[in-house]
Amino acid sequence: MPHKTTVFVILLILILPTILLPQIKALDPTEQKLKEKASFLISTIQNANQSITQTISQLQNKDVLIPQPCIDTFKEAQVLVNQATEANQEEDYSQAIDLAFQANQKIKATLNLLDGLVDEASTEHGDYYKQTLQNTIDRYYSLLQRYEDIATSTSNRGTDVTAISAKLSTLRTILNSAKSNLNHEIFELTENEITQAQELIEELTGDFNTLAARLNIEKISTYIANTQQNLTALKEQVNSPSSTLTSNTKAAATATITQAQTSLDKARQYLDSQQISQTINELTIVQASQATVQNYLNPSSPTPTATTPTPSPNVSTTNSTSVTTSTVK
Amino acid sequence: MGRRLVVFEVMAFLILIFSIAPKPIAAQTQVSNSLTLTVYLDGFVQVDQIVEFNQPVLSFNVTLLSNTFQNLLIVDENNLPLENTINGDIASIYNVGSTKIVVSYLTQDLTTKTGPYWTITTDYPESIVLVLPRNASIISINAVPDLIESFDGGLKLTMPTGLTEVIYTTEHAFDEQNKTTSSTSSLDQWLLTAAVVLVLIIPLALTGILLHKRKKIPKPKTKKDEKQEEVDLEKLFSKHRELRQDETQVIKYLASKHGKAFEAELFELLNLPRTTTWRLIRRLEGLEIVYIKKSRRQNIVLIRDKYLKKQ
Repeated sequence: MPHKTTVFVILLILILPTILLPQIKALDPTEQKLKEKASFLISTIQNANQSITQTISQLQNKDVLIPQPCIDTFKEAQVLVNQATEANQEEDYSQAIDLAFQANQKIKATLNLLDGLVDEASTEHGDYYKQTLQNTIDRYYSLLQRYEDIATSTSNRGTDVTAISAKLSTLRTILNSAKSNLNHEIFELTENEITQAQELIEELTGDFNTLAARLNIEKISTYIANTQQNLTALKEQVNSPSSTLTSNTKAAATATITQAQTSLDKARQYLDSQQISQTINELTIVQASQATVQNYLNPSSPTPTATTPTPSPNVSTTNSTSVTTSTVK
Repeated sequence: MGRRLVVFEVMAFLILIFSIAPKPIAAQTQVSNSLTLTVYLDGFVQVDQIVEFNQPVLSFNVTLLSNTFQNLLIVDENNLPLENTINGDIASIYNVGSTKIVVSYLTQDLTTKTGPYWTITTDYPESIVLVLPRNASIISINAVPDLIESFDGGLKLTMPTGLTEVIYTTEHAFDEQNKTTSSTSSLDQWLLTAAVVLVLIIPLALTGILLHKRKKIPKPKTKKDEKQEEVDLEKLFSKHRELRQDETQVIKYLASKHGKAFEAELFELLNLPRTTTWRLIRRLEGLEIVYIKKSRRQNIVLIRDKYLKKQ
């Protein structure tokens, strides 16, 4: 036995470092993260220091009077920038972060005091205009890519997207032309083409939303059909001779099923007149009723929605449906 | 005694293992919600919000970050468009069984500009990812990002829950923030960068100003027999109390020109850079106050019919 104990202790000594070492090493990333955060903030306030110095200098060159409180606040900010930089160099990262934030506040106050003095015209140079147009074209290209992907997914589902595809193709042509005109610095033509592209994108957004409405009706129809099957199955279960329900519970379950059936019928009617919001409301009632009946049939069941049919042909991995209308920001 | 020792050691070992071993993952939350804001050079922000559910839902409401937006499109996990209705800044999404929704739109309302400084502000109850334009240098930030990543000249910040306010400039490009470990660069390097930036910016700015001044602005053609429209300013301003001073100025100018003017005239009127004016007009367009009509190689800005007085 003592021999076994020795072996065990040796094993423990061998295993322990392999378990504990990663835990010890795990402290390093925290320190590293603090260092990176401090570096980031120091870099930020140094940029601010330089940028504001530059802006003030530009204003003074144009004989713009800088208010004394603005100069004083900026001086205080500069002192804090230096102190934060020193703390960072001394590897006191927590102190550096604290001082950087104080500097940050002073910088923000300086910017507020500069508001109204800075002439926007003097800060946007010719190249900036070109960059902005380039930026807009790039943004539209990425939007085009996104729209093309949606069109492909919709087409793969078997829906006709010929008209949308034609517009997407036109959009690509316009963007290619705008890009070329911008490269040749024909700005007005580029601007016109950007406006055309925007109009086409708005049109496409509308087309996709119309398509969404059509797809939604198909989805809800399938959902209603599946819910009807489920409701019929529940009714059979309640009325089955093998059912163990008491007469009172059976009566309550039957009443709930009848209520669900009424709501489902109303949902069908609303869907026929394309009143989607009302359709969803009725389906919500159906869903809640189904859950109640499930509880009657299986009081211990933790998830009464478990036998709810798959609502959409596009959702193949789920068997349950929660009827939730909640809001998220 | 030996047996007791072994039992004690085994128990100690097991306790140690259990205390070190990763804890079981907590039950997944009902909803996961991620938000990415991609900021463009002209102040537009692409908002991409992804909401995931652990079981399919029938409908879902999402609060948009602004009630002025463009190109709103919502898709499900299969990249199929989802029907929605908008009421103010609430998008009611009929996702009938989807487990994931992706809400995308473009807005200008999250950014403001003063001189060379842009500010992006948002208040969100969860952590957000903020992607800043290429060469953007942060001037002020209200919180330390949880994660700082750099990519291809741009910065990607994962900001903590709550208010996010970042002031940045794209005009004094310092290129230091995308190297988070390079904060101890010397003052000489900064001065050299500033000198280079100044040398590059000043001639460009002068060229831009000269070109701008040289340009002749054509006046719109007026047909003698054309109906002279009158803008209902009272109705317009009472409906749009959110208008800024320069926007009001543009509208008043358009009203004095019977509801229409060339875009180039507005550039001259405001004496602002073309990009700023262009943004302003696009904002008025987004608010459905004006629309833009092309005439040969000129854009004409027109007040929408709903704000024209009936003759």
